[in-house]
Amino acid sequence: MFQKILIANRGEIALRIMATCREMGIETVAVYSGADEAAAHVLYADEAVCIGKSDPSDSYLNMAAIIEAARSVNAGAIHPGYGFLAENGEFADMCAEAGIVFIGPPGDVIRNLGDKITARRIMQDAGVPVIPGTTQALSVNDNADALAGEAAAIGYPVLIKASAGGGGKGIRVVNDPSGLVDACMAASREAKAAFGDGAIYMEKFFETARHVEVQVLADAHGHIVHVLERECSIQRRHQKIIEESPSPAVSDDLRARMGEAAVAAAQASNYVNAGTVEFLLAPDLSFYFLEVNTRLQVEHPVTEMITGLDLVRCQIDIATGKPLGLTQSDIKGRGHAIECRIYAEDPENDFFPSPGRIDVLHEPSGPGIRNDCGVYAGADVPVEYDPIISKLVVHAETRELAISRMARALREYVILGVKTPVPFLIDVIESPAFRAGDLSTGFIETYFPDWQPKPGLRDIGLIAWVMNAMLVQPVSRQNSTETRIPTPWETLGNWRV
Amino acid sequence: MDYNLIINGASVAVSVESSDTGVSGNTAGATVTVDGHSYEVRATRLDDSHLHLAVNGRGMNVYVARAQSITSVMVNGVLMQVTDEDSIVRTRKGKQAGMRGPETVTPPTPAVVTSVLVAPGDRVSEGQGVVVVSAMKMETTLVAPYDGVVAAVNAAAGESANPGDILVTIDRDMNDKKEGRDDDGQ
Repeated sequence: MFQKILIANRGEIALRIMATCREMGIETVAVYSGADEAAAHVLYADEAVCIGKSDPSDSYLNMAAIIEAARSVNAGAIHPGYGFLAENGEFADMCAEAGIVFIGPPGDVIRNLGDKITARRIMQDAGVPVIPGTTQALSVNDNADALAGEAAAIGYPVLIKASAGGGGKGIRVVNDPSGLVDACMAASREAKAAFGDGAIYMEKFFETARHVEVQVLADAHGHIVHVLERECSIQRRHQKIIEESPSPAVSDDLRARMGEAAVAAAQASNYVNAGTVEFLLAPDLSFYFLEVNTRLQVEHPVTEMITGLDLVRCQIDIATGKPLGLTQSDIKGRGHAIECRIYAEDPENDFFPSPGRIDVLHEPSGPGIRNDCGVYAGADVPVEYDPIISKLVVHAETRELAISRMARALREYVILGVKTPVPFLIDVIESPAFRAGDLSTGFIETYFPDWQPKPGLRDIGLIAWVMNAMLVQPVSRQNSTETRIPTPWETLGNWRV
Repeated sequence: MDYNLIINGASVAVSVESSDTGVSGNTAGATVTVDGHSYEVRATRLDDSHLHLAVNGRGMNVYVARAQSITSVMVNGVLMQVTDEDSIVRTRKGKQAGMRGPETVTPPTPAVVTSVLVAPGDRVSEGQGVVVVSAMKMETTLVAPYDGVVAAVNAAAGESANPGDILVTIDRDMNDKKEGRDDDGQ
């Protein structure tokens, strides 16, 4: 067992990993950049080490600095979280060379699966169904005719994807030849900026498909189980925003078949630790391999809620060499869980990032609610990183009850200072189409193409304004950008003894 | 007390009459009339940002935060932005001259310029992409707000840009002016 683990990440996922470490009696070490000196994960950790300037390449992607930090505090292992270095085979190798356990699969497994083209080949050889697409990386320097030839062979619409990475970066849908070259260049640029590798590939785009993924756990002794599925069809800009388990589209029989395919995928790639095999589920319920995420997923809590497993604890146990201690028949789902991702972004302005200071934060609580949060009132959401604030997760006996519970939780969630998609998520969760389970990756474009908030509570908003003015504090803070801490004379000014 | 409040872009007349109990400590009672519709309101301030309201006897928690002249109000998962029209008259007069000038392109959040798609002298039409910016690794294309001619480009790939920075200045077509002025109100 490790005495101390360094978490090479920030935000809600760093806090979530530290929480399990604390329960296991393992000391936690945070790393942070110049922009994160007062970030929540730094304040939560037992120790914290500054690893560089705010730019990710200087800090959270700075492999040498992170290894050095782990050495300096004698950490026995590094947990990479998701994003940043989580799917970087070179980093896993560097950890191994430094005698530090990387909590994730070995470097060569990450490399094989991270290269989506190699991954497709592995899956094809193992008999896992794959989507029709290019078998080699495309160069944007290829002439337009070559790109057009590939697209025509696959058939429009096509999806341009980054060969490295994930998280919706470097993805473009192209409906006809006219936008093809521009889309390839933009995707390649985004991929290069996000992952340092501009290679892209092309595959058939299914307009009404679902995104269903299967969690797997593989120990170092060749034992593999799947931990049921998650449906993540509700996406915008190809980024998941609502996830749930079980999928309303998956029957027991289909679950068993997808689970078997996921285990076969893990076996064929010599997988070790927790991973996720993503599938596209077509309207006829045929499924195709998309990719393997060789890390903890953002949406892992929905699986934890219905199975009762702590996936981070499983990851740490596997990394220490413990056998799984679980057989497939031990894994049973109970009830229904839904997760909403709460980003600092403006739903009225095409979900553009809305960085800034959180002025007011009240997290929802009560039966069946979990909020994995990475900020506090007064904290900044920096412009440099993914603007995730928290993941709001609910668990209830049935899907219908989980929807009602999520609607309540969203209504009780108060975040002021940055814009969030909370009002938008309420409308989506309560829509007849979502309630009916009629989901696809085109859901938002189909049902909420130009979402605007309902004007319903206008009068209450106005009443709140005038009563707030009437009850104004003697010394009110007129300007929220002012960071000074008020003196007791100011804060006590309105009280009568 | 009478107010003209702007809520989510629309101006509404609101009048407030303090009730007999008035303001007492952290509690106040009032009759609030919105567009001729009256509400009996009792409000308690719980902290800087948190009020409890009883509106016609119905209880609810509301949260407020103020940044410059805009007050954000959150109730039941709904976010509203409220401004006192009278308090912004002065600032608006100051901006009047600018609003009649050439229209501008500015990012909605701190961002980095990825590419500039136009050059001075180019003719652009409304909705045409002029600058691509990237914030938090997401690319977004800023578009021309009106038909016109590019007067100046103040951005280059790799530079950072903040809201308010004018990246591209576009002289609007004369025959489009009338229609464009309506857009100013949005």
